[in-house]
Amino acid sequence: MTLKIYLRKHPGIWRGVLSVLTILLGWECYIQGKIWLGYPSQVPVPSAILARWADVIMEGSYWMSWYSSYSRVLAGFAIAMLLGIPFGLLLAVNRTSRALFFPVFEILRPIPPLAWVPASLIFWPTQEMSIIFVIFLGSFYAVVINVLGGAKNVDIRYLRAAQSMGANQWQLFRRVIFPATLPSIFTGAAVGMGITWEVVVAAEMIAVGGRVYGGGLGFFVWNSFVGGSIEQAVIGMLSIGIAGYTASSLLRYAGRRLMPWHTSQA
Amino acid sequence: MPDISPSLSNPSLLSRFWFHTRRNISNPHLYLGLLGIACFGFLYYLFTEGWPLPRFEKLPGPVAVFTEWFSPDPMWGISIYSEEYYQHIWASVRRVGIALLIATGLGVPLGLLMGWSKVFKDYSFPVLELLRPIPVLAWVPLAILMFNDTETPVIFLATLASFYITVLNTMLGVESINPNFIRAAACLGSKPHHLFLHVILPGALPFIFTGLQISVGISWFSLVAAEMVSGQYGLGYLILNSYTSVTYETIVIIMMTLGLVGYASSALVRFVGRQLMQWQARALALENR
Amino acid sequence: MNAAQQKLQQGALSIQDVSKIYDPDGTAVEALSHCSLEIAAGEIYMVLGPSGCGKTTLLNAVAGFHPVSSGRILLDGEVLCNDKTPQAQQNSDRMVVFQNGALFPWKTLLDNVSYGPIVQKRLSPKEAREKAEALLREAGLIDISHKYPGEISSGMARRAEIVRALINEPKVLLLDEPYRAMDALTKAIMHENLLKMYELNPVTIFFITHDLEEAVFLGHKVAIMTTRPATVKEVIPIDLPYPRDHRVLSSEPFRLQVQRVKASVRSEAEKAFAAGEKELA
Repeated sequence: MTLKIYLRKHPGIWRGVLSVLTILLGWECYIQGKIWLGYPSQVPVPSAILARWADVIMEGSYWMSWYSSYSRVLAGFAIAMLLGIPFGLLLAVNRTSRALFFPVFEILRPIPPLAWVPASLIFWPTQEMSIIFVIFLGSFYAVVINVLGGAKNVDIRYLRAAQSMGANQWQLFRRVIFPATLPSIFTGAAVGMGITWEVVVAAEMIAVGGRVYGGGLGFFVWNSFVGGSIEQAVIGMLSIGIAGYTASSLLRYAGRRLMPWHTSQA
Repeated sequence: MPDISPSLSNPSLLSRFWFHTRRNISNPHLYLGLLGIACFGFLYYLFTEGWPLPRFEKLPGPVAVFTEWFSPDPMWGISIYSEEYYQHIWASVRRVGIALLIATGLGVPLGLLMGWSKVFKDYSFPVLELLRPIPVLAWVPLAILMFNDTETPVIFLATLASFYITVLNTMLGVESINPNFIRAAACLGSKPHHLFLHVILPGALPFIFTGLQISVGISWFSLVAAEMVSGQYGLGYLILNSYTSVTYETIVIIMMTLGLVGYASSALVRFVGRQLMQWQARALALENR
Repeated sequence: MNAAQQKLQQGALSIQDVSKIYDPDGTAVEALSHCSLEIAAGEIYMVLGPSGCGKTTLLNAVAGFHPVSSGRILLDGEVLCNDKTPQAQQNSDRMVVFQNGALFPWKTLLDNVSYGPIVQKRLSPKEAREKAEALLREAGLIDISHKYPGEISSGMARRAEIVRALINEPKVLLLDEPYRAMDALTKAIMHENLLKMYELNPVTIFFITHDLEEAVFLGHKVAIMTTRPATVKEVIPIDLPYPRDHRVLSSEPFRLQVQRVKASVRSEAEKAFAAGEKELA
């Protein structure tokens, strides 16, 4: 099938491209026009951003920021998954533990993760650890809530079917409850991953000061802004968007690979 | 047919309240939950004040925090008796309120339009999807540049994430409406405005409220972050300010306050949702019978 | 011809040589092939065929939910659709009762029933409400008229949906397997109730089903459809006197009629089963 026919069959694609290009062009024209008429404008134009971006990708500090943010996100996210999945499953499987722990969990949950930043800075010996702790906290709630909800709603018929075939408690858990909860685990992970990037940017802006290396993309944005390079701040902003999108896509891909039976999106 | 049991089919508020109270009091899980909370509180006390552990001793303990919180003459100026405390709460609540109003006021119509018209969705959805992965806080520099005062950027940031959620959920809500409802409405002789008012809007309402529920949380989340970075009032500003001025008790007070107001605002949304969607509340109540 | 039927002058439906081809992605699927049916005013016309043969496609064409590929449909001699305007106008002269029910879950039964006359501005809200109450009382639903559809049984909901259709005084009532998901006992009660409502509000009924006994018990005529592409195989008049009630079910004439219909439809069902094609919506 040629591209032309394909595009005619799927008008959504060219419509989307068209509207995005229109907005970029409108933005460029509006700001350029303003400057041409003699009004000062601090908001950068797309062409200038792209030109600056071409320079920035040659700089080591830019990629260093990527690396720092990514390693923090992955560390916090991994801990959240490692603790959140077993905790959620425990709450789902065991009524007593749910009654005991869930209220405490629910009391702590409404506190926004970033409100933990100061307390975390006081408690943890290094800044790095406190940022990772806040990241962990942000995604932990999402993971636990989704795992708990998923495992509690496992169809009772699956359990009965497995029992009638002679499954013991462990097999019941390993072969029925866990795979049946897997879609919810991935939903929780996806939500958690989104929150993680929100938190890491904020934490890097608030908590990291003065260092050029290891500041991360959030610091990159803030530092560029304070340093007066608005183009670079916008580049940082877009980079964070790309980084977050990549991470979520990888997660979705893993979900599809692990759950071939699950046709709807994880 | 005489109505034999009016209280059974339509229980009064009071009798329902009694029923639930009785059932809860006799439920052992309630006491386990209280035990869990008590244990948490006790451990917090033990590690910070009773028998301080190395890193924990730096954190303010519960006794110190509550003494400060309920003191008429607080050491660091923030307690339930100080005017300043309520000024900060009000500043934040007001911002979240405005942000939610804007997010709902713009997001619901936009979402309805996107769910309604495929062509409109084709044009607008990609833009939304491109912007959505950019975290709220990454917008800080642009927000400061775009608006000249200090208040608007904070509200803008608190609005942004809630706006995405509202649009997406409203759109999904419209798309989830059983097409037979729309056909039935057309058969019954609905004009487009009837269709919109009597089918599309109520049909999407459950999703809109699910979105609003998430929005409230996200809005508080973003607001605290925004206030920490660029606010001059509000709970987020206060919590970071307390850190830099080493008034640690205040930090914990503000954290608890944020938890309380956050919980109260989502409870309010839930309540409004139940009132507006009686049809769903009643059907759900029958299912959990 | 009974008394109720003779009162009716309107509602004669004529389906002439209608075909429908679905072509979503280049692979043409023929759902209907040259279907012709003549339905007299006030008749209960049962359309019987194997699951997924395209019966609903025919009903949707009459209701105006989608266009036909060729052929025409007339209501009382007026063209609903033909080759020039392949899609019929949706109108309250043809009311549909859907397979899985389409009462608005966010309106009480009373509001559901009074909705049609109000939006059509035929009645004032107060009059519509009064008429709705009267009809609901007739159908034995007045005690639950303030409940939401989510709170009542599916049988009651289906009855209310028929009332919601009848209040608009349609010429034709289009029923798309309305009792599909019900157990046999409930179904029998629903059938008697439908006939009672028909006596009170006579109207042409176009009833789609795959249930043999349902078709014979309710209908004046049963049209047997072939498997996909669906066309009319045979129209069998049912020679049983009205009013019919459950005692008819165990009578000899009923058994003979069922056998006659079964002989005709059985081979189609076997063909459909052997083909194993996915059912059309």
